[in-house]
Amino acid sequence: MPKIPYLLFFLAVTAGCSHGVQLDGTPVHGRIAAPDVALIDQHGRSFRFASQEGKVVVVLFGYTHCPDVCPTTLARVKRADRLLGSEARSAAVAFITVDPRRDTPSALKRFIGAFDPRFYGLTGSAAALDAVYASFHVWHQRLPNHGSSAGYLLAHTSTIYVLDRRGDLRVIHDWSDSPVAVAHDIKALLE
Amino acid sequence: MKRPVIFAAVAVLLSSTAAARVAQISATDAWSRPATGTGVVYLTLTNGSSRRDALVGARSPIAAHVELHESMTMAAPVGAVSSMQQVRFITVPPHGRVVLRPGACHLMLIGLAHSLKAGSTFPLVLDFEHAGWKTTRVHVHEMD
Repeated sequence: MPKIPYLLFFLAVTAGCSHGVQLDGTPVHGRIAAPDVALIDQHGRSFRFASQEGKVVVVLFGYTHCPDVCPTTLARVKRADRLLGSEARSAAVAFITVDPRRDTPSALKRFIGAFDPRFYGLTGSAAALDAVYASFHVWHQRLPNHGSSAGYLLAHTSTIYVLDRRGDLRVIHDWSDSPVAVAHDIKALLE
Repeated sequence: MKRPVIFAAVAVLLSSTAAARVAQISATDAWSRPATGTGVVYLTLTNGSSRRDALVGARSPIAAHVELHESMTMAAPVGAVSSMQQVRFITVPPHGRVVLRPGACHLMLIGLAHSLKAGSTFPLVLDFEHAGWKTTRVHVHEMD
């Protein structure tokens, strides 16, 4: 687990409204900005959060060998994206791997393609990924294999993060939250 | 004359009871989502008998392996952490129902022979401790 000031982050994430915007998820108070590092998308191109400025960005973490929570989260985010209608052009979705060993850009391309090829499937160098995990306080751990043919499985933070147009983290959702609630908060941050 | 009739009646009764016992597990609403490489199956198991049963295995021609898994989500200092583990069986209580659903028990398809496309179906064979093998058809669609 990265050594991070969880308490400060915990104090920043409390119930209520954020900057006067009424949100359905858990608002984040205080400034937590996306890190300025270069990741690699599913096409092998460079990705920076700064390049998404002006868009609301939904960020989630997972791995392509996950059959359940990760694809379910992506499916729900896809549904939230569809609920935005034409406003979806002002939003972006970034799925960041916690399993860079197996999640090559081509593996991410296949995985993301089953949902929406407009979504970003991101990997990167260990240093860049660690910087992102630390910024979002993402925890991940490879689990021991007790005879499964799945190779290895991971435990990881399954939270959905929503960044505003400036790249600041504004609200988090549980992976199981309804697409309507996630879409509501994306729309609220677009206004 | 009466004895053979009684034996026959008892035999019919016993066989019908046994048939009822093995026939009363059903798997319904089996679905999966579009996927490549690794997939999932969710479904509902209903036990119509008075005897506990358990799903102990599964197989499908579209996957190299089908395993029983369970996902868990726990609160973390920030947000939540999700995890998954293989399980050896999934109990279906007498006259009970178990729903395999996202974030809970599910079947993991490992080594898909081909991509799963929305609108397609594939066969799935379930192995129960008492009811034996049952075949169902899985429908591939986008969302739960």
